[in-house]
Amino acid sequence: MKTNNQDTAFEELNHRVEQLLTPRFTPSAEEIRLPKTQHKSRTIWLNTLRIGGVAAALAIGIFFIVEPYNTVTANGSIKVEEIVQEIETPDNSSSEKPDTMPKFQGGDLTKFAYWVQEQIEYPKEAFSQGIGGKVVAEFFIEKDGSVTFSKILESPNEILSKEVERVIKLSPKWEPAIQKGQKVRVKYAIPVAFAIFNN
Amino acid sequence: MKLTSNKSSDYRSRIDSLVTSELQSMYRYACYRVGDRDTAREIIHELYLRFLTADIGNVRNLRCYLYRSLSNACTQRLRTTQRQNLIDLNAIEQLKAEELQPADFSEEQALIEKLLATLAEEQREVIRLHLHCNCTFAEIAEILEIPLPTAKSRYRYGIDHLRNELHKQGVI
Repeated sequence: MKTNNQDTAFEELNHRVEQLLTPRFTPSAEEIRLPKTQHKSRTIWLNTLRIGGVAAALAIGIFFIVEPYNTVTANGSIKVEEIVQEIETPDNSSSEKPDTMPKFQGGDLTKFAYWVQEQIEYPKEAFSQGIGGKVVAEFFIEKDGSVTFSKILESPNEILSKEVERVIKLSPKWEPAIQKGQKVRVKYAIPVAFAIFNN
Repeated sequence: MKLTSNKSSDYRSRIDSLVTSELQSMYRYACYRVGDRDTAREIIHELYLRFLTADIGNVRNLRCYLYRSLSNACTQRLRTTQRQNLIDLNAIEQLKAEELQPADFSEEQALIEKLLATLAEEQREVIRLHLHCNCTFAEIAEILEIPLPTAKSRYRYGIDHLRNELHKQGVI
């Protein structure tokens, strides 16, 4: 039969286990922001688009990045090999992640995602036809930091694809990725979600 | 994925408010569950967009529904990336004392995963929801659609098992 002392000892040990299982290094809330909807922040544009009380919204929320392990897209997983082949290295033999990833205005792909969000507009034609959905676009950060649009990986409609392509082509230069002291080319993809809400 | 919706602004406000208030907990849960911040962020953004356009206005407890959806989304993502954690009964035997003092997120995430790896998934999930999301046992019972005593006992069995194993190894 357990004594009170044993119970207390168990309680203390259980508390220690709970402490070990409770995250202390909680990622900061600033790391994550919900996708913005343009119906609030871009009223002038919206007034133009407002048709029969319908407002348009679009959001960029999700993205993926070159990593030395499986990377996920909306369609499932992309094998590492398929991505790293796109990193051009000085000796053309390495398939490792670059030592320094490309930087956009001092930030990473998240910063670029928010920049895209500021630039992109809901195509009027798509809006009037009630077309929404997620576009995933692939592009390269070249060795000189310029951005080269590659292709659309996923899209519900050509009109939305064109808008995402247009904005990606407007991108200012990035700081290129560095691998083994050399600038290398890196492939990225970014999803943009278009949605229409009735007000 | 069709993202067209006729949801009212009241509905959007309700979802915005709920997700914003739970964002930190959701992000913590997803980060420690999938082990990668970018993936966690992606899962939450997809979930948010799905909630904005889904027909869930009549759901009785949206908070519980949110966490059930998050749990399912993480499971699905781990399945597609083949990073699911299987039960590893020897994980604690291989645990080193210095690992109990993690220095950053990655080390802590690895430690928690290693500890949880010795438990059945049903016990892990109750522990995660309770310790990572601050869900009550009543909420966990609703999220996992199990009776309240089952939620409590799964938690207790899980903690007791870890206590015994860690004590046996002399690390606590």
